[in-house]
Amino acid sequence: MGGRLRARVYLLRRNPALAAHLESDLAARPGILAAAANPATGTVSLRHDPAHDSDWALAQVADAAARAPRGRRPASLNGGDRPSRPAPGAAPAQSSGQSSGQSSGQSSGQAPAQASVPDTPWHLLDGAAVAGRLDVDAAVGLIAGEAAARLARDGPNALPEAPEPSRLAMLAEQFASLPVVLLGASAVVSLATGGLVDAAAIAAVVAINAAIGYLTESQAERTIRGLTRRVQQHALVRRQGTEAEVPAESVVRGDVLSLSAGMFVAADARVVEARDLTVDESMLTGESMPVHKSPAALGGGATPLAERVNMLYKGTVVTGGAGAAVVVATGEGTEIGTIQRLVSGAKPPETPMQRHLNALGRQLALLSGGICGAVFLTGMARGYGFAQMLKASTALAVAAVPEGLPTVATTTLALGLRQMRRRKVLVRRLEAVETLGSIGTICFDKTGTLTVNRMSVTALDLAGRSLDLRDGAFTQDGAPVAPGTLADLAWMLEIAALCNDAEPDRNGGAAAGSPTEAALLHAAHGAGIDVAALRARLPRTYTRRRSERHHAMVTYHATADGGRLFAVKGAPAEVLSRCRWLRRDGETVPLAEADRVAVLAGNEKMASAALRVLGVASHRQDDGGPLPEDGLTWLGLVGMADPVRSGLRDLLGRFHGAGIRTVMITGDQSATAYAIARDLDLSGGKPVDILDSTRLDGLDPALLAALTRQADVFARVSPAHKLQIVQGLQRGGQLVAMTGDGINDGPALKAADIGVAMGAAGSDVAHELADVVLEDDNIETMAEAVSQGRTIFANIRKALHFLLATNLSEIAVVFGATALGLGQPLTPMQLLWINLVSDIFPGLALALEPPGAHVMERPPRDTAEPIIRRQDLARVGVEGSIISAGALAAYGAGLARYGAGPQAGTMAFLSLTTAQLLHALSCRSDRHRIVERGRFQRNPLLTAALAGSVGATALAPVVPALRRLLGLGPLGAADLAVTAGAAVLPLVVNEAAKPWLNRLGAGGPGKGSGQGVMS
Amino acid sequence: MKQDFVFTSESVTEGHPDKLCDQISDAVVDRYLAEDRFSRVVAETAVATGIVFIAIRVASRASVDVPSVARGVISRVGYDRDSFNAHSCSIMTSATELPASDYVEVDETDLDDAGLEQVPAGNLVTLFGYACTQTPALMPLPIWYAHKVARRLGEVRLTGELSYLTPDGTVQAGVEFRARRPHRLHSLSINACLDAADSPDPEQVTRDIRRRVIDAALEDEAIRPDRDTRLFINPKGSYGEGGPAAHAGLTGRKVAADTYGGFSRQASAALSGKDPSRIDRTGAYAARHAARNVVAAGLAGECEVQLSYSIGAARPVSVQVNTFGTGTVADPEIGERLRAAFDFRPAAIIRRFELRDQTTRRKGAFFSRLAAYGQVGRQDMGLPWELPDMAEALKG
Repeated sequence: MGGRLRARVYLLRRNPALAAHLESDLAARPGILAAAANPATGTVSLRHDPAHDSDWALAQVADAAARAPRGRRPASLNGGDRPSRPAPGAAPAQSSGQSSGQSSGQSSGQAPAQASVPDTPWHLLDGAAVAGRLDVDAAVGLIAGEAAARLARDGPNALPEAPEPSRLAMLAEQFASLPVVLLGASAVVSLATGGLVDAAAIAAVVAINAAIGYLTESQAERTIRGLTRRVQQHALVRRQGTEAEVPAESVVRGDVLSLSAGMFVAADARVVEARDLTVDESMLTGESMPVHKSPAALGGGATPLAERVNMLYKGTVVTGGAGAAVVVATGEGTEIGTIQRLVSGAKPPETPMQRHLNALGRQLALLSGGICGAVFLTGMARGYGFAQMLKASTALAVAAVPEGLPTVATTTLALGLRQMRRRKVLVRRLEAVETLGSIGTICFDKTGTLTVNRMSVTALDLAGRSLDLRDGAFTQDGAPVAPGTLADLAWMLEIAALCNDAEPDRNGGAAAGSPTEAALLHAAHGAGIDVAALRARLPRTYTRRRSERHHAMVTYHATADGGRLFAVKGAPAEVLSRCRWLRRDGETVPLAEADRVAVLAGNEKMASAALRVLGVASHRQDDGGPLPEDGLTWLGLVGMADPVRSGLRDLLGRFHGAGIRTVMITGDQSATAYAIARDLDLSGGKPVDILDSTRLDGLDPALLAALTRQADVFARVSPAHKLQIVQGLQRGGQLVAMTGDGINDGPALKAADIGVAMGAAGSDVAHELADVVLEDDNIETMAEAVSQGRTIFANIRKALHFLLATNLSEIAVVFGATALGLGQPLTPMQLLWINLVSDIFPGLALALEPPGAHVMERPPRDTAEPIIRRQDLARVGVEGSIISAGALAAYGAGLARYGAGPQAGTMAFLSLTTAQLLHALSCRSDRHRIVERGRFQRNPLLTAALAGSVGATALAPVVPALRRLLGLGPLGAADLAVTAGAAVLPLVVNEAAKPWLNRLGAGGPGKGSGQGVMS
Repeated sequence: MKQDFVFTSESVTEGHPDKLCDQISDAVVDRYLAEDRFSRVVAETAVATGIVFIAIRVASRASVDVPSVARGVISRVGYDRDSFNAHSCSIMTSATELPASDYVEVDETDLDDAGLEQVPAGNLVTLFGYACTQTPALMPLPIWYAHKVARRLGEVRLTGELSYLTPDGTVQAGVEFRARRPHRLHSLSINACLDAADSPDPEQVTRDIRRRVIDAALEDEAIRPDRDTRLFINPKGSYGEGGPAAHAGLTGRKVAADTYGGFSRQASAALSGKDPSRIDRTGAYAARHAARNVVAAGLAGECEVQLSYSIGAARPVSVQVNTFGTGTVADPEIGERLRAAFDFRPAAIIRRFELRDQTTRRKGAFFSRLAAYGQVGRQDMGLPWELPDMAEALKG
């Protein structure tokens, strides 16, 4: 099974040459399995490797289109600023022959407003030239007023949003469906046969149906559009020599962007400064590994997008390092703007549920149409009048054809989304609601998700001397220790404060910086160290930050006497391996083997108390030489605690009860991770399986899938590995939810079936990429989200179940009576009444059924399972037949008593309507009977809907106008009793038979029941 | 038993995946005991295609970072290639806590006789110990030679003499016996894994191994390879780099190499990866101790001691001796003397051999050293079960 994509390509229509080119280009690309371009429709269909997603495939199509040989294409396809690519070898003659025509075509006013300099190869120029062309000094940025002027000239840095569907169009759509057409036909027939009142009533029904449909759909549409509203992005720009945060829309060409990890790139730009700058360009190039960027100019020749290491593109994410870049294109002139323009018109894919329901709806429509036709023919055969049968069968068609199955689903989804919003769960993709119910594994980051992310130093180990730190006071074995008396302690904390990026504030805390480093500053302050003065005394000359290859940070400092001080902090084992000396009791002694063992033992002891442990070392030398490989002096260990959030153990237990595996991902060592996993009972009572690996990408994929399925904890993992973990789990057949902060795990967030970001703590990137945002940063909300997702799915099933059963009962009654020659039990008006009164509102109320008590006590739904399964259809068939049997029995009794006439019809009508309404109660649960009160929460909406409908139906025989309209006859008490019996009996039978109905088509007791999410 | 026969025993280097797993398992045991001498731990290791799986069941006050212990062993053994190295290999740990009732903080040295009786055997198992006069170490010759050559094979790689060797190697020694005495070296097979890029041609490899490994290892021995000794060096061609990247390993698959090379009967239970409270490990040491002293006391030229334990009883339910006809005293009599002189109760064995403290005394590496090149019969570690300290008592 591969991914599929259909995209409309601008200018592909009636261009067979372009079609041929696209097909051959796309088919040759790795990752694309098959491609077909249709010049008749202007669309490209392709199948791609499921490892890539549809955004990547779109980018491939756009790139292929842009590389197409130049023909009679206007310049706007090429975009304004992209440098000319030499035409592929096949068409040099073509291009030279047309070169004059081309260039004039290009520089004609067709280029978009934002990109006024055509075809400038920015990546071939060096930084100064770029800045010169854009008339800006890269060190200072744009000067006052210049930015505003350029904004006015070029327009905002925004991509056009897809236009809202017009309200009128939505309204018109309501009238375009098959049932309405049939009703219209029916009205015409009525008019023709002189039933003016009938025609008016039909028109009224149509109007009411359309109104209700329009209201619900427009609400749903609005809610769904609100899902993907673009997060308000900001950019850091250098203007007038200072950095300012501005909305991304106000970035203009010539602005100097200031970049650091975790930011979106606001516009296409040329890199002029780079310090370890790495960028994730997967949304443009499909390459999931971050790319290193550098400011040097590239040599000539055709450099594809992915290799332009001195360019940055709008929409990509900075994953590490820092830098600056001069904006060369904004808005529609950017690469991503071009792509959007090229492939606009590609509709967002339907969710699986919608697809299935559409298909089902079509099938059922055909079936119902067939039956109505059969009714018509049977009636004709029985000798009833043509017009009469025509009206009857069209009315039946209207009442029986299940219109708008997808609408029910969409409306319910939208209502459910609002519900979740109220509970602080922000869902950004409609599909996510469906997927939430089938999640099998949730991957939690340890820091910040499972823990509060507020580190503080609680333990120190100096060459065997164990100290505790609490509330700023140092103690050893309970006895207080004055930091001044331990020179080694002060020295170690000073080194930890030097090798540290956090900014100290006045109170000894940190104004900015990571929690780990802030904790170190705090501890240093507690020992009486003035960090600012220290840093001034020993200015830093070089920094090598912690990376995947080196799990330690190293800084160089210049000492007053011209020498050099090295400060090192990082993973204890790694720092220790580079030490040859040890600081003990004020002396520097050689590091013996026994000391090494003792240090590692101390590390383990701290780790087993769930502390994050860092080793600290230093080295001082008189000259300015580089850091020796193993000449460091070991100073000690620092242990920091990051408290676990409260209530997690129970929360994880809830997930386990729902059949969801919980997995922890952390960069910590195994012992720390094990301690936490044990405290939280992460593995649900089973042994804790920890995978400790630094090279997940080197593993065989099948092996990785097996390992990820097994592991409860991934230790020593860096954020870049999360993508492999997600893919491994997915390959093993799991649906995966993963939390992330977007900084280095963007691809993982995207690849996960549900990417989860924290609301307040997450970055812009996380919000943009995630499917679900927990606005209150509380993972308890995650359990809510899963519960809601399952409930919504179950409720859609219930509503559909109800609608299908009632529709079927109507068909069966009419068909049965006609076939048995019993005449017409229901008039068209009565059928329409049923449609209006007994279907719509109870259906909606069922869709809003509150979650049953056990929705979180069943295993996740199998994703391949369609929303309406064969067993559901079988069940619907049985229940509907029972209901119709009751109505037919009432009809028969009426016939026996009164003969053919309005009374018998009235009995049939009343019993059918009431039975259907009562069936709504039965549909509240597919497993539990109504009498099992404890299983149900109150659903006041349903009560109101039923009361209203029953009331209206009871009113009908009483109010003369209604009585006439519906053609009801007077009934005696005995008749009413029979009617009542015929209405109640099907409910009793259906309820009693529930356990057997459950097993219908499921292949035996218990087999299908475990899968259901109907509670 | 036939009197003339050829007997083969196998030994492997430290880097062989099976032995690697034994060493990792025992390194975990060592680490737990070093921090908490009353630890109960069982560690099973498996390694395949560069992934190490360690399953531990533990009851202990200590907390050990198992992956880093494993990485330490892998690094010490010398795996540093791209295909498998200590830094980048993936380690999957599965840890279960044993119930708290399994953890007993009783020091065996403090127990009196009644106390010793209270510590029963936890397994239903029969263990064998063996000793013979084929070598000065009182071990059978085939396994003795196999260990010697394997050790030398490991050594030449570390000293740099044959730097193209990789840590994985296997040695099989076949000795021809006449009248149940070793007569000559019948055949010797060595599988030495090499670094394909660095290694010379196969003939040179054969010559190197012949000279620097085989001849060097056996030069002090009376029985050396003669003209008719069949030498097989990488007989099926080189296996390439070998190691976990090439073939899988499992704790406890080289039990024969741990003991007598198959010359004596052998319980199938693994020795490595178990803490001293397991009688199916310590009983093997006690049985060796007994057999060795029988031979040292001159009571027999060859002696196999069988100890059978039952769950719930501290004393073995059966102590049997078989001297294969070499006994100067009747076998049952020797058995009686053993029962009288030796205390085979589990707690007594721990006390006698100081098994809870050996690790700390030897700088954190005791069991992990035992895990390569034999757990019984080795002379390089001053093992308490190799001392002839009970010979006098047996002579009666």
